[in-house]
Amino acid sequence: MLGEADVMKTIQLMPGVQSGVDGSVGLIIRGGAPDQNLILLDGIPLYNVDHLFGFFSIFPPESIKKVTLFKSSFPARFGGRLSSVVDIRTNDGDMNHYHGILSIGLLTSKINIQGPIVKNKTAFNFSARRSYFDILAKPFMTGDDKFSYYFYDINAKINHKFSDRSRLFINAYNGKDHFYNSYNDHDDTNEKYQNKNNMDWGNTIFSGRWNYIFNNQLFSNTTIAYNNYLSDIKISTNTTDDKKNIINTYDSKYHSGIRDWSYQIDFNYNPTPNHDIRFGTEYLYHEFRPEVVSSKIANAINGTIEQDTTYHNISNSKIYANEVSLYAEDNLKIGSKFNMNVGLHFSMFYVHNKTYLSPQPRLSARYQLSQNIALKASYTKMSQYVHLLSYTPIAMPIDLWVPVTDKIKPMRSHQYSFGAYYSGIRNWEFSMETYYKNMKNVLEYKDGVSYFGKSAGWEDKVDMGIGRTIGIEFMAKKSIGKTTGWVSYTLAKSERKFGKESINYGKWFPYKYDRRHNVNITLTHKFSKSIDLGASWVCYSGGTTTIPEKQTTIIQMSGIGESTGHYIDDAPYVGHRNNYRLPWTHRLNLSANFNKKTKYGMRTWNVSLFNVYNAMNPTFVYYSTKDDHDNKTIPSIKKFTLLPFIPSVTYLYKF
Amino acid sequence: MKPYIYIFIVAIFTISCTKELPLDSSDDTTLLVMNAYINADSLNNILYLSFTGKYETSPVENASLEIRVNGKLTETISSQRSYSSYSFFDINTRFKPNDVVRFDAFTADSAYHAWAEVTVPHRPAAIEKIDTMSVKYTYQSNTNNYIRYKITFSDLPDEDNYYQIKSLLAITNIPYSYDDYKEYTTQYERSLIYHDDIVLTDGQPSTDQDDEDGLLPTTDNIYGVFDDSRFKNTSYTMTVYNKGIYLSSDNSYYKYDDSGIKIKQTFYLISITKVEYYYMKALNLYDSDSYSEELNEPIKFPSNVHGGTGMIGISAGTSKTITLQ
Repeated sequence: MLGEADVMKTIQLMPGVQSGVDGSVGLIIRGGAPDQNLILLDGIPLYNVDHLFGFFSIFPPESIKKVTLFKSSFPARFGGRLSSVVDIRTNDGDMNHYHGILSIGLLTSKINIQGPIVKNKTAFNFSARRSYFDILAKPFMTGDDKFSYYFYDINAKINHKFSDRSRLFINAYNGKDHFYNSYNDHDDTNEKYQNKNNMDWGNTIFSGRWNYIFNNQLFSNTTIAYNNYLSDIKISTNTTDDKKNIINTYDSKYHSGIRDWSYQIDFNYNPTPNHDIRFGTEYLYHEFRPEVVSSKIANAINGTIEQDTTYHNISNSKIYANEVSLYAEDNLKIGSKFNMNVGLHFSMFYVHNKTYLSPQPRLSARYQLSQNIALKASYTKMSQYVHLLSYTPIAMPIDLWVPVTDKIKPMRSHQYSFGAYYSGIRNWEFSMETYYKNMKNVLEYKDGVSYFGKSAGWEDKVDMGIGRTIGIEFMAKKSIGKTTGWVSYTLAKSERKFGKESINYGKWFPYKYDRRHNVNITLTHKFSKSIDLGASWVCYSGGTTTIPEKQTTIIQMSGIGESTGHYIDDAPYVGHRNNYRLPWTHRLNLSANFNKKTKYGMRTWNVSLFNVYNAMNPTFVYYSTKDDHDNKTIPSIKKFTLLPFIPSVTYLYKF
Repeated sequence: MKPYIYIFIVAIFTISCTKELPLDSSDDTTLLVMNAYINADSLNNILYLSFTGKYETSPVENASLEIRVNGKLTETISSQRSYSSYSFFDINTRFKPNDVVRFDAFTADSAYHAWAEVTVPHRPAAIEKIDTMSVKYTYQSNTNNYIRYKITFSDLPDEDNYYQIKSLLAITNIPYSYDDYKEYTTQYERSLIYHDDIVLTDGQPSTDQDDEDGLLPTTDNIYGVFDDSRFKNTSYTMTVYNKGIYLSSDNSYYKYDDSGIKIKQTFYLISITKVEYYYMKALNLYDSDSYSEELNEPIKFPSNVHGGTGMIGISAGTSKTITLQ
């Protein structure tokens, strides 16, 4: 979209993976929630992985070396989330040559440079990206209402080789979204009202990894990391009279974030060709800083200050949590046809004087039935100690990660999967995977409550329940030749159930993103060295939402004691949660690259057409009412489409 | 101005294309709706009965209601007059704390039967004290001298409790220069300003201006409901102000030249049931400006009615009155 290639959107084209809101980068993997994905940047767990309210990820592809997705068969070295692991590794930097990429698009410009600092000894990789909607829009904002928005990402990595046995990687990432808005107003009494709002949110990560080879059987990775996610919002209003005397000023500050310090040591031991043993430990120190909100109000009458007070509206204490994990796994070969990965991940989470322990066995096995047919089966148990509280379906800076508490227990899952793989047709791979996952302690908001961006008392606003997801995934993939790509189809079901006196009266109901059918087709064709085309078509059945089924009466109250009065009003009646199935979503995206070799490198013009046939897919739907010709109130559902046909062009220069 | 968060929402919906979708509800069943706020201290309670409808609700003609207290039938009532959307029953049974009360509503043809069973909550312990003080307070951008009330009460021990606080102001005009005029009293149910109070704001104290200009939308606690999770088995001192009643600059109430005013302030502390608490929380949200039908899913009102829907609440209260002048 808008010429921005995106790793997360590529992942969404895989079987078993869906987006949350249409066009967003949120991942719904095998019926799990978006907060159930462990997203690692060079091994460091991330919390905020998107820009522009969830429509772009923080990973510019130019800075990325490799992405690995695990939907099941999680190796024991991973833990902390229920549904997936997305392991993203950035470029290490070329030890011998300088090269890079410069890209200018409609939304952002990007640069990536890598090369040696000391040849064959030290290399660097540097990437930066910034959007410039704010700069382009500025000349057009001459009125009283002004706003600007930008985001940026900076990735830097240094790779130093002490010897053939010892190597050090130092990584840094900083990314931020910034929104500014100001508004001026004058009224008849010449009072002037001015409002300014600033929002900044993003991540800062530093990490160092030391890779040491003890001998040809044993090597280790030692990682230390610091990860800081911040959301800062400032609101300022003031009202002045015609003589510019202050009548009222109001300043409000909102602050929330998470800080993680981590230490991890991993060993890889190969005692024989048939054993690949990994073991290690990780310690994570979390500092959760849920919302702190303060406001300062000053009022003056005839120039005299009548009130000047600072209120600490929400001052949640910091929450400190310790997370320790130990793991061991063996990737073993038994004969020429049978491979197994057996492991145990053991984690401990300590918060609010409460300790949660979780042994998580992992087992996956692969059997080569014939030269072209392989079978695979796995079982994994996972635990998760953090939850994301969301206010809206799109990602907002006030979305809040909170740890488990003494009331809210960790989420757990057991996943069983089975797959068959066929590679008997040249250049083609075929796969079929089926899975069943059950989850415990998943959260949903109770009936009649809303989070509304404030976390206070959140434990009382949610209920813990169970979930189950089941599905079968088919994929045909061609990865060699002029034409490459894949076709995938997923049939899936995801449901939730809560207590009898709780949500939906204890009956199973479909999960919000329970999409039964998912089809993805991705094609790339290389016509010549100078022209290649890409196309992707996605089609999936609708998720669910809750709508009223009929009209009921509600009772409201006024007065006290004997003079109590009641009002009986009609109101929408909601019988069951997620009782409405949204329409299908389908979209064709096309792109063409026109490449030309130049004196110093390769120039590429990329032309992209997003949503070619302008499908009006539902981004949101909501329940509303309207009056018919007889002034009768008729319920209706409105569909919002945020992403129609969007063409874009990007200039790319590789050197 | 709406809270800041609406800027984003407006921005998103402004650039969206909108279309209406067909709404074909497969559920055409009709349900009986029973609603009541029963005051255990009153002999005049009302239970309302309706039918749900696809587009509008309707009254239930010739329905009957049976009331059982601790398993014993105390009343069988026929429905009274019907209005456009409901019928109602006048209830005269006396209830006392800990009574288990069952309400069974039947249509004339017995095709519909809905029932609810509730336990009358324990009456709250008496309000221990009410301290008052004149303080400067800013409300709706005006700074005035308000009376701040500090109301101290104790939680009922060893149980989860749900409460409602209400305020009644009785203003008596006392003429003293014109003998023809008699003293008269007017009673007002005054909404409370409770932005400072951590219990009434459910842990999110704010200012009036936060609600106007702040980042996050605030759901007003219109019904003054709260639970004891922040003061379980102990006492609590609640801080409130009367909405719309403030003092003149010399800290006296507004006086006419020839009259005086006597003000009695009564606070009611009422024990309500858990379902009534969550129902009123849902009503707070339903009636709040911060509820956005575009962003929030429709509110599902908690129900304790079986075989139908609705909410039967039952309460027992205590009160304390102070004279302000």
